[in-house]
Amino acid sequence: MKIILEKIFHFLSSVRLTIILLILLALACTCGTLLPQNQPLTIYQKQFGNLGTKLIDALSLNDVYHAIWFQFLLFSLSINLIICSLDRLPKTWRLWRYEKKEVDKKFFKHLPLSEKIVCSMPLEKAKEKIISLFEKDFPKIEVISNPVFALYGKKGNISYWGPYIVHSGILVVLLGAIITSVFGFSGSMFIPEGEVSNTVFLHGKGHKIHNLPFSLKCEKFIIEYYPNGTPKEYISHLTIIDGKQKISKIIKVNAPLDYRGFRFYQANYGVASRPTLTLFVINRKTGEKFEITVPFNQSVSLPDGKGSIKVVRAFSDLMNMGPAFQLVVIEDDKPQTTWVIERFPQFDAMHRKGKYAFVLKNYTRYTGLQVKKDPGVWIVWIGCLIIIGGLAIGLFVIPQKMWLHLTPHPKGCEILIGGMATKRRTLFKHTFQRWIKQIKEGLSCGT
Amino acid sequence: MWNIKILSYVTFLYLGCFLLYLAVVIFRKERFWKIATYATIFTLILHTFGIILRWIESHKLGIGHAPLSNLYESLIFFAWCIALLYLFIERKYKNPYLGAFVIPFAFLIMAYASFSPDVNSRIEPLVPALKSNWLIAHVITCFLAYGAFAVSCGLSIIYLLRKKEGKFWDIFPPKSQLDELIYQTIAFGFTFLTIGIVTGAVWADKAWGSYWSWDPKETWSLITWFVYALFLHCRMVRGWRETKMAIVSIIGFISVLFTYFGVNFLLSGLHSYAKPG
Repeated sequence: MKIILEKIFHFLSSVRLTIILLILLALACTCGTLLPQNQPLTIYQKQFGNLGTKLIDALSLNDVYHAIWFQFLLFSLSINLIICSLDRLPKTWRLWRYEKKEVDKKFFKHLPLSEKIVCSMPLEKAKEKIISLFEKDFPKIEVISNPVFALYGKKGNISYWGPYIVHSGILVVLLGAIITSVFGFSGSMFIPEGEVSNTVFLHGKGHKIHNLPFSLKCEKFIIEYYPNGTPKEYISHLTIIDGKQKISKIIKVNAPLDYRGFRFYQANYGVASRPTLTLFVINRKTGEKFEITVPFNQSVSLPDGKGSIKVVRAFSDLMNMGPAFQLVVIEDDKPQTTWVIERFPQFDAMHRKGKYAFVLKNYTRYTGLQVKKDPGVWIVWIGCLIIIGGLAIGLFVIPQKMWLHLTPHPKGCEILIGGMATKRRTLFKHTFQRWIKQIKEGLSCGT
Repeated sequence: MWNIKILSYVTFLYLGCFLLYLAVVIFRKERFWKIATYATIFTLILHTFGIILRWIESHKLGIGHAPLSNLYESLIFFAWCIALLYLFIERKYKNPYLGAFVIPFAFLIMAYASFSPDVNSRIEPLVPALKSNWLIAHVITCFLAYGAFAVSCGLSIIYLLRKKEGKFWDIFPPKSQLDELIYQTIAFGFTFLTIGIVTGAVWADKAWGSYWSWDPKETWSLITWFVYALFLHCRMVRGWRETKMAIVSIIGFISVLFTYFGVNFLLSGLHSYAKPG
């Protein structure tokens, strides 16, 4: 029993498991991008047949990222990460604490980088000079004067903690993501211009409704265009109605509104379900042009007072022609049906006879807002910063050590210098050569 | 548009730089090396000028924005990152023979941007979703990462081609040094990819209302992140070296290419600004 437990622990703490999990996660994500997600099963039936669809349904391949097995993979990765880190902690601690300050001549031979330099400078003067040279590289340089004059410097050992910092950052991000999905929600609001609402339609299965503790009124929804006709900006002018307070706010794409822990985003827009139209009424004979406002399903009299007009139906997209509205026009007691269509202003003039022709000027829209409450987002950002900091420390700080012996020599003094880096050795070789150059120039000596 | 003309000249200059580096490999003359390096520096300066000119010209059109907003502009910037990182490595490691394997990436990307009928080089106004300062931070960090991964892929190819001994191959850095260079470019790329994903998440949280929505581009950048995380773990903990690592590095770059091109061409999603056409 004990052996089995040990084996399980060994497996959970192995990097082999990490590698397997990373490969599995990468494959799962690939599957999630190549297979269309969250489609009704009938769509898969056409492409993959009965058996394929059953397989997709059983493994939730149509919703990979929310499947239980996918979350199990993420969970396993977190466990593996924690156990791995704990398992390696003593080893890292030893590396971090490891010091060998006093060394003998033989030690230099075993170092990957070492060099002997003879200088003509007298010993005492050389001692001072060499300390000042290396103080810049090693802020905490140690001077040992017995049995020989020696220097010992180390820096960058913090690099050993880089992986731990990155891994704890990942755990913090995952914690934030869990808080987001458990305590947060997101949904949509649709507010027609001039109307007030506090109803949020929650995203996800079940189509639930959430009522905000305050209301929003959409004063106006505006689309700005570039000269070439492409949209430049979508803007909602809103008023927050919170008890007696009324606050005017603007929401644009990329500029959401924060209020009482909720965040509102400009998401979409469309024709209001009971729109009020502004129409140009053109007298066909005289060319006179009037402007009238027609609320939905209410009769409004025509300019000559001898007839009326009423909006009976509204379509945000009528047979791919865009927004269109059905009107009932009564002229000379004869009712006629007609359409005003945003993209075809001449439609009524061309398809109906009568005293007046109608052209659409404007109609009321609704603004579609995305609403979000996300208490986990700050935790995610903190986790991200920890990860980036950990990567910088772990990958770019080089743990390095330097030993130096300064002994008397018939010509003046002899310097024995050795260096070691546990990461990025090629780069460290350049640093080491710089040290040697520095000594040779500083103490003005040949080899 | 002057910027487009200049950038298409830059394409040919990169071809010239590549040939010069090839000459360095073939003739092994120090003189060629200096010429090749200066030629690349000159090309990079002209390239930078082209990008800045494009920025200025967009302001003259009244739709001013940083030239990082569509496929053409991102390709141009991608090539710029590769050339810059290459020069940096050449300076730091003092080996002229790598250029012949890295500069062609910059040339091919520039050529694709300038001459493919799929890539629209016109300056166009920004759609509302792209109007954000995060655009610059996000695109720059991502493409520095892509550039580093391209360089590491070039180095990995040299690594795999290099025989243990042999007259021709002796000029390249020894295998162990190449191995370390591959690791270092990947360490750089991985850090910037992480920053790129994070800045992207911050931006997505502001523009789309969610820091992570499993959009294909996001997901593929995560897959790329997994592949390079795998690389780092295999190397640092399992002690893998050399051939295996070079292969993982090439797989990683294939994943980068899919994140960049495959997602744009084959999958639809929120990142549709970078679509060709």
